[in-house]
Amino acid sequence: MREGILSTGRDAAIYLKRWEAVLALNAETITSKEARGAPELEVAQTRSNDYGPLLGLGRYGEARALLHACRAVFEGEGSVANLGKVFTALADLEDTLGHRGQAVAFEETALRYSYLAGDPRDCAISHHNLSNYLERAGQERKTCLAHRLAAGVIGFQTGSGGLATTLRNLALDFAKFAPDPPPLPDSFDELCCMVEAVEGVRFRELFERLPRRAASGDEALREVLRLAQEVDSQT
Amino acid sequence: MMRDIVRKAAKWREFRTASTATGFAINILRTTGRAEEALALVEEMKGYTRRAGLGPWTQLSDEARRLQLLNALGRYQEVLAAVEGLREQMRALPEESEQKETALP
Repeated sequence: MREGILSTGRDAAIYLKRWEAVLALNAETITSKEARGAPELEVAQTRSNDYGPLLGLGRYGEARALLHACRAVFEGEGSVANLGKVFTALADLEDTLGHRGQAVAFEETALRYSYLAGDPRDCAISHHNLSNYLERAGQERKTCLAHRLAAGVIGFQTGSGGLATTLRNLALDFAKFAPDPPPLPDSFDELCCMVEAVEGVRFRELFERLPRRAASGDEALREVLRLAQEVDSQT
Repeated sequence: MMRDIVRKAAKWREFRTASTATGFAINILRTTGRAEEALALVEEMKGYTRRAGLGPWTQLSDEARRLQLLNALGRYQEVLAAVEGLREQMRALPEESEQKETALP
């Protein structure tokens, strides 16, 4: 109960961007977990939550040290899903610091771990973030869009709440190319080839495991593009 | 249906059942986007929990549910202020309750 209440307070503090309060509440949660002898993995997961408020406070060195310490625990425990999350956080940190190449490299690592863990939501988040980092790093725009579309296709098939954000960002991407058409993959096959250029990404395999909201990859891709264009025309 | 169970349980003075069933109703309302209606039931649930003789940790769990609903309604300042107060209260509570509890510390 104690940890649940602290977590609820932490959520509120995050919304209010009261970073010191977020850290204090999380510190008390960690103390509670340690006092009841929670496993090291669980404690490290909770510790890793501090990276966001540390970023908010501009305490980048501490954030990096924390994430690498958590990474060591996750590696020791073989916790693939948590490794995906910690590399996503490291990418966020490096992107905040303007280290574009490092952000891309970390997010690609996060993507590999997310595919290994097999959680579609984490895969979609990493594709979406990678699209942002590739764009900021000045990489080929078609590749950036492909990762955004991959996130959209996963979000569409799974009915994810994150789809709205992906569609909004796709609409913004389209607007940047106007009046020219955006450089989109011609087919689901091409989309798969493009995103699977990142080692360890098995987008087609993942797609086959998702709910069949659209019957085929091409249909899902068309639906995502249609929805993004609807958002684009409304803005 | 859940409200019917609550009503009957309260009538038969089965307050623990009434508290639990109200909790279920709150969860249903919250997950279906009706947090305001859920919030209105929290005080009723707290009353059943007290009348069932359940201990301070269970009573705190009712308050935790209220705070989650306030978060869902975007009333973050209220939540943070309440949690500050509860931190002190939790530190003062014994880990082993002398009363029956349905929530762990």
